[in-house]
Amino acid sequence: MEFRSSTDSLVMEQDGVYSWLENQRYLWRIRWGLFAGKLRWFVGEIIGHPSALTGGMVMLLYIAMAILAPYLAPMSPYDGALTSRLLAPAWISGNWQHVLGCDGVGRDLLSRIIYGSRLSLVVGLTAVGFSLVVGTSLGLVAGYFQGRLDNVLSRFSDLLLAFPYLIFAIFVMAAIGPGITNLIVALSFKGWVEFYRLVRGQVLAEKTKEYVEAARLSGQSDWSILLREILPNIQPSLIVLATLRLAHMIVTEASLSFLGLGVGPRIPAWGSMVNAGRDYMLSAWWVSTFPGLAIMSLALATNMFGEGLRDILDPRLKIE
Amino acid sequence: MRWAKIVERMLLTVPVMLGVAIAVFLFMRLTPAADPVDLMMGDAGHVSQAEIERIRQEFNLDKSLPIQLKHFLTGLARLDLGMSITKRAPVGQLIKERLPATIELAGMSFLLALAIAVPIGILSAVKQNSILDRLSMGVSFFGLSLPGFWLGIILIMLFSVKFGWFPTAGRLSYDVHLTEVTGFYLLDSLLTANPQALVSVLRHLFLPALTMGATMAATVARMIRSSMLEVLRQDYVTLARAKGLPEFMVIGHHALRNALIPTVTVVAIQAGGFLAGNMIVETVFGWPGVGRLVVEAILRRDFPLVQGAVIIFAFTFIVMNLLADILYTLVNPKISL
Repeated sequence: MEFRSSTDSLVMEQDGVYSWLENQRYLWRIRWGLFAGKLRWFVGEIIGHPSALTGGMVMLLYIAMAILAPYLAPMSPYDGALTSRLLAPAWISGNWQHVLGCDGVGRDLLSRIIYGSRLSLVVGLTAVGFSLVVGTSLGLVAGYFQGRLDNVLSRFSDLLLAFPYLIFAIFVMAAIGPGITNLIVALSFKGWVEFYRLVRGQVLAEKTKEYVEAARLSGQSDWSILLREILPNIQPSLIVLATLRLAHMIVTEASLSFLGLGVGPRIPAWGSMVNAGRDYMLSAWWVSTFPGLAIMSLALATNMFGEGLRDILDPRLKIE
Repeated sequence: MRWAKIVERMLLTVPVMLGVAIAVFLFMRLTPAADPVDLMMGDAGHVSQAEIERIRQEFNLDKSLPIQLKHFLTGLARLDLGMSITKRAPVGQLIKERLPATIELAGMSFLLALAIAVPIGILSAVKQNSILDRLSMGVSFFGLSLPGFWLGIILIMLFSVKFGWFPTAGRLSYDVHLTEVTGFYLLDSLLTANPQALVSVLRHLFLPALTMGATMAATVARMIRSSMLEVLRQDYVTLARAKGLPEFMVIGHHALRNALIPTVTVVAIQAGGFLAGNMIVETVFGWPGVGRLVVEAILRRDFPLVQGAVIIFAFTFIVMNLLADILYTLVNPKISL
């Protein structure tokens, strides 16, 4: 934050010399320099942290897979041929057209897994994003202004915490029915509470510190203090929490799909693929195993990346 | 003084429970998909208006929302959770019948998790940075990301289907007879002195308990390790060593007791999650517990049953959290609630 005030004064001093546009260009160059410096530091830290690097790379791989699914998938994920029903993986059956084999209706498993990454990531990222925005905004306001709103929100979050996460999500899905939007609703309905509690607690601690007092004395408004002073200071823990929650939401979405509470049966979802494979446990182990491996590796990678971020950005959190 | 705090903490759970009940009720009533009349009449074909009115009256649906809520809450106070639509039986009765199976599985998972986690946590801390430490922490990190349903299926495919060591589903083999006394099969087989049944029950319990306990074992092992590491650096541990106490006494008596304090809370809360019916594990292993009852109820859209079970789950969870807090103050006199 300190750079903002220094550049502001710099602009003021040289007001007469530079035109407005040149001022802006100068400002942005400084901002970009600071940002690039931070980015360089961050990338360096990540590279020096093997598990964060591995986790991050695997995550990127899955994201690329989700975006490029139509180009990467060798077959259609929706249509199967009955002749290739429960076809074994290539190294067993020798049929290299279906590398990971086929499911109970003859659909190519690899293609379905590639397409399945879309649902997992879209639902996971949206639900985390939604929870992050809602929880952070409410936490900032409740922690800073306290009062009645804080009371109401805190009681409400206590109420939501009385439900185990998965049971609550199952309950909401059961009531509102299947669908991608509904999955996101079910996961975020309780998901914001973790962000709310973290932010509220940190705001309560931060607002007694000197820099907030200084900002107030210099005449900054409450909102400006919240958004420009406090928020940047709690940003590292937010990023860490968001990453770790992403892993949790991916597994929860898979659990809901597994129970048949996700999206319709046609859309490839890793959880429902594992469930479909239960019928063939005796004869075709691959149908359940590979989609499960996909869930686990993505969740593991996200957790590794999150823990790495915690070591890098917020070492205080390490002491549990 | 401490007891007054504990009583106060207990009283504080009452409004939360009330809030939970009201929230669940409102959620169900405000969801159009959960209209009981529609659900009951789903497959019945043509139903006369008079019949619909009669059912609406029977379920108090013709009254206003506050009066419905009052009926619901007074019912709840009398432990009456309403009637299941598909099973035509009181919800409370249905849950009570399934409860022993769930408690038995939860208890077994709990014991198994602790049996795995405590030694691993201690050893990893004592031999910090050894191969054993790195390996077990790696495995436990793995365990944290493992989806329970998939682990269950893999265990079944490996140990039941391939090796045939354990049964794939259920609580008891069909060819084994067991007289039910309490509904807890382990206890029943002991009470009726039936070793054949005992073996069968244990074999049926093992895989689901392992699946359920795996995540908890991973969490607890990591917690014990980190709090042990913290404690082992303290002066009183150095003093105990300087006194010439044997190492197992230093670790077992002085360090472990203090290291367990922060673990107690985590363990109790996890146990609450267990008891709140593990729907996933019960579904995978065909375990006839409350969790599977609820999953079936959801798939058949039996909302009174879902509603009742969710309330029971939340209450159990609240009570276990309460116990965790109380236990924490009891083992750690420094903390007041």
